[in-house]
Amino acid sequence: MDIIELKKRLTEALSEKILELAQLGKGRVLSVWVEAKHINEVALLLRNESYLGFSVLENFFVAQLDSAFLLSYYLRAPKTGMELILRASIVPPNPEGLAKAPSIREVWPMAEHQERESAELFGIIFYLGLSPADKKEIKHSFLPPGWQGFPFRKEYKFPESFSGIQHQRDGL
Amino acid sequence: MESSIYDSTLGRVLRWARYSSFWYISVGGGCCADEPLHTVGCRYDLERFGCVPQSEPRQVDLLIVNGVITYKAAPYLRAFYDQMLAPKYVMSIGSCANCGGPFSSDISYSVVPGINKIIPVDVYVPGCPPRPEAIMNGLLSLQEKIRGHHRTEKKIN
Ligand code: SF4
Repeated sequence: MDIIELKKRLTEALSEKILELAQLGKGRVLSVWVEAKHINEVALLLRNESYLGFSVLENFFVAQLDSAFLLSYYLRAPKTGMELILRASIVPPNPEGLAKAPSIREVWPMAEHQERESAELFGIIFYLGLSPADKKEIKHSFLPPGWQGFPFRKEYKFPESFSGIQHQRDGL
Repeated sequence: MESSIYDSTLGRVLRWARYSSFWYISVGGGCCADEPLHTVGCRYDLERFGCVPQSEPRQVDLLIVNGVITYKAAPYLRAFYDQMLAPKYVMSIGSCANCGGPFSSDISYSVVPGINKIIPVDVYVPGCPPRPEAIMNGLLSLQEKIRGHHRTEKKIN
């Protein structure tokens, strides 16, 4: 299967859910942009349909563009060797607030670790099911307990001190 | 130990025993953690100064901290230091442990800018990472400090 055929199959399978279909990396990789609320449906289709077969999630990362968070899922189909980038974006309600995104850990279980990391560092709640759970806080497993704020956000201000240690070099 | 208290033959013998048999433990938080391994290896042979690596904080006199210490690691380092029995000495190796180094306080949110904010430090060894000779020099400075010769405090005109 080459990239033109994959493009055709994706357009047939996802038709109205696609916001943008572009070729990246000198035209060798296809990127599909969908709405965040559809991500689970699209992910299930990409994994289960035998003619697509994207059963491996190679990487997942979050990036911040202005106020929006861009979620990128790097997929691979082991049978055909094709790669695909699935993208969605979410916007937090206010700059300090928690953003909410559907979790894909039921489709690709290896996403769980990376989702937890992004949740802590970007302040995103990844919810299972159809609607966001009433979760107000994110459990800390990478940052020390009691840490305030989300360090990877652009608006993040470094702490003055943490647990009694001044966050400044001596003599400055 | 203040030299004025033990300024007798016994004190000198005690100090001699202490500075010539450093049993140390190394806490590694970054890339500098490789350097004490080189230093204790066959080419530089730290054991000729009486240094023996240990694995139990209650049996050591010297704590070597090297590399990045984050805010998450800070309470554990403090607990580690508290477990050591007096007299105890601390050597800080590498710019990260000395002052935050490349992860200084205006670049990194998570690295403690200098372990002297957590535990008292006797000798700082600068470098990123310091060479084994620099670590040996730091050790000799510490020996002289215990002997009562404050080489590290000498002023150069
Ligand atoms: S001082 Fe340099 S070599 Fe040592 S831990 Fe820091 S970055 Fe690594």
